[in-house]
Amino acid sequence: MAATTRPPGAQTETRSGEVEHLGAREDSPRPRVGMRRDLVVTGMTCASCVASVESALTSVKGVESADVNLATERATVRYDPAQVEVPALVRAVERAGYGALPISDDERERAVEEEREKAIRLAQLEALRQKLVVSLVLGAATMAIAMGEYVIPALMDAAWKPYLMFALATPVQLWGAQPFYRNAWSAARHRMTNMNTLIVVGTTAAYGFSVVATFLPQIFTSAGLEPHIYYEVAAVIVGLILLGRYLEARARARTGDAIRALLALGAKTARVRRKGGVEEEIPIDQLQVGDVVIVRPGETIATDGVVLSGSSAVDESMMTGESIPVEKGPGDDVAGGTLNKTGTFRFRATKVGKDTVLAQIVRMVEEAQASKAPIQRLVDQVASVFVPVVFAIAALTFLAWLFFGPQPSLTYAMTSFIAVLIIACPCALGLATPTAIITGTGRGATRGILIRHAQALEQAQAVRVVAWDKTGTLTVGRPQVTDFLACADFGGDEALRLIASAERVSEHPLASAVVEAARERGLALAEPSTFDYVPGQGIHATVEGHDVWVGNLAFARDRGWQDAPQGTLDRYADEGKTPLLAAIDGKPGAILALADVPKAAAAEAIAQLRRMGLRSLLISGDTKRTAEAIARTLGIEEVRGEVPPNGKAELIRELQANGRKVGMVGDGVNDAPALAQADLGVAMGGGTDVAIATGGIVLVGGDPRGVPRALRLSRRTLTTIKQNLFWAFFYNVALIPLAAGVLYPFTGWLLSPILAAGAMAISSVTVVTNSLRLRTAQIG
Amino acid sequence: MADLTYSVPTIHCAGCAATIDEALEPVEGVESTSIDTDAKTVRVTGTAEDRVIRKVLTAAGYPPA
Repeated sequence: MAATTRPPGAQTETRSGEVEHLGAREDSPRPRVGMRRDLVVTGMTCASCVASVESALTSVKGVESADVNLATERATVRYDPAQVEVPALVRAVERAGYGALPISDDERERAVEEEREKAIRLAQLEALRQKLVVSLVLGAATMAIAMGEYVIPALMDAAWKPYLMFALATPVQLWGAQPFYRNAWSAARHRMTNMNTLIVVGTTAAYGFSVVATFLPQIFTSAGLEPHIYYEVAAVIVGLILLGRYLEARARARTGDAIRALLALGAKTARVRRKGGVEEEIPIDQLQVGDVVIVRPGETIATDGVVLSGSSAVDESMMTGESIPVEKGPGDDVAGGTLNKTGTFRFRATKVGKDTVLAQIVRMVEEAQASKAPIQRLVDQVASVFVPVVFAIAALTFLAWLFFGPQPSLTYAMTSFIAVLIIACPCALGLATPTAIITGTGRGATRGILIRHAQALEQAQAVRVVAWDKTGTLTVGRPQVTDFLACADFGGDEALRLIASAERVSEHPLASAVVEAARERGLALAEPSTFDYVPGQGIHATVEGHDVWVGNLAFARDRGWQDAPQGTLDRYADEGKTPLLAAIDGKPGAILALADVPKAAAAEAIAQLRRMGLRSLLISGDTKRTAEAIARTLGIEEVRGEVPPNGKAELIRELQANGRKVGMVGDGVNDAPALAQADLGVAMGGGTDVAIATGGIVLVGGDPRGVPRALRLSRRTLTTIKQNLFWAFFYNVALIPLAAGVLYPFTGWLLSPILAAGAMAISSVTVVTNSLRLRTAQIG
Repeated sequence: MADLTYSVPTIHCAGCAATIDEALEPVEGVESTSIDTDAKTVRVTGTAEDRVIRKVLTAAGYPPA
């Protein structure tokens, strides 16, 4: 195939720089050095092909690693640009008998290449369909003639019969089986074998033997052998294997649907407001950071930004999995690809193109889908020795039947030989893991669960203890006013209005919580005429002529408020709340309690984990009392409070001491060391910058229920992989002896090569279909 | 009507002032802005929220101190 190659230019540098930045993080499955390049690899059909391409690439000098994925038909190569360039990689793949096409790093060129790739795939699928239809029809006809002799005995000795069957079977063998021949040949040139070799040797033996028997029967008769013909065997096997491939290729194309759906979310144009109020509709790729974009109801938001004016409800379910639309007003972040529901608003573009959250998500999911699960490496190792072993078994079977088998011994030897070769094709084996991972990660992406690499899936299902960071993970992450006790003559609302007006100028987080509480009650705040701030204690302001003091207990005592109700203050402290005291005009004004409240779904997330048999543990830098109060509300039994920021990773290490697998849920940036130390790091991103978050799994949107969901999804995916491997591997191993005729002496069972071909096609389709079930998996 | 004043250390010149002006102009509740390039301050008149102005200034590359 014609491969277009581009020298690694400046763009490649940028891209590889980014990757290295990510790769430098501690949770990365392996150290990543040098350049990275993705190639489209065509012509792979099985696990043995994957092994061949990998060994072809890694044997090139300067290549550090090569990951080949059969289901995505991608190779990810890491190499030293000083020693090797991309064209050499392409040549290496082509020498191994496959096609290679480097994927550009430029987003726009990539889109063009993906279109081209799609066109090639469609053409290949159509060609396959034609071969399939012709081969099945001719195969069935050949079969009908072969079987016909049992119905019409006259056919048995019809002299024209072998010639007619030859005429029907030849197009199948020479044209229908062409892809197998081509692939097996290019493998053979490099002294490699794969499943095509098995098919080619098996069907060629059947066909070749029959041709000789048809045209030169004396060769057999002179040796005392019967010139039997097996045209129907060869033709039907080719037809069935083509059928299996066709169904598999169609199903395989669907496994990546989820990620394509994400990509399709992007808007194509944006309405931009230029200086002077002129509105202009521009293509999305011309959009720049700083542009003011207008969004109307029902439109897709073009890119990431911050709302300037207007308000609306935005459906972010495509990213967070949360189906309830989110209210957006000035100052709120919006993400490109989400859907504006009700109102019109304007926003300032803060990120465009490949920097947007959507682009980051797509890139992350693609990387995860191309990554290899540890279990798959084992499968690949097995597959690489599989074909030679099968040939040895087939040869032994042939000889055993020939010398020790009943008459006609050549016929038995021939059919067993073909059956062994056909049944052993490890194509289901090559699809078992990648199809499940692609479907599983895609399913996760639609629910706001981003799986960073396949390894995370395996780690996730081993986790027994989940350690939760408190602030921002289980709680909202900023204090809110939970209690308000007014003691002044002003009345509750008026007291709160004066206090909030005084606090308005302060930038303290507690102050903004008080202002927020006043806003929620619809109070109109005044401008303080004076303002003082006593660091660590409180504030003093003059509001509409009133003298307002707000601060902690010591601050209030110093200002003459001696009889503060100790019981109330103690109760607040027990509940993990921070009390604030306010005096107005020298008299007790109000007591406020502030706390970081748990997220609405936090308790449910913990309960779900418990039902799944997992223990939860709360880690917090706050005081023990605060941490314990939150833990009580959420139903968490184990709490570690007063943990210093650098102590979290240490604590995780302690938890792992007795071999327990520990998952850590944190914010992904501050908790990075702890997430890296844990067996599974789950980063709960607010959704604004998913790519910098550490952790094997990233939850977009911050719903704690994403944790049990992610664990359920990984359990389901792992179960699917195991089922697939069972169907693929056990099936091969169990049926080879049957095909070889081991049971024949005892039961008379012998597997017909035609049944072997049918069973093989079914096993591939079963595996892919089983993986596709993950698309609709209920994960809560 | 309240005024909000921000100290923005990254203001250098009239160009910066124009950029900030342009960035704040479409914000809901901003009536007018006055930028002092010597004192490096931005004064916003109107009903816009402090949180929103801080965010827009930061997004425009002029984080308030």
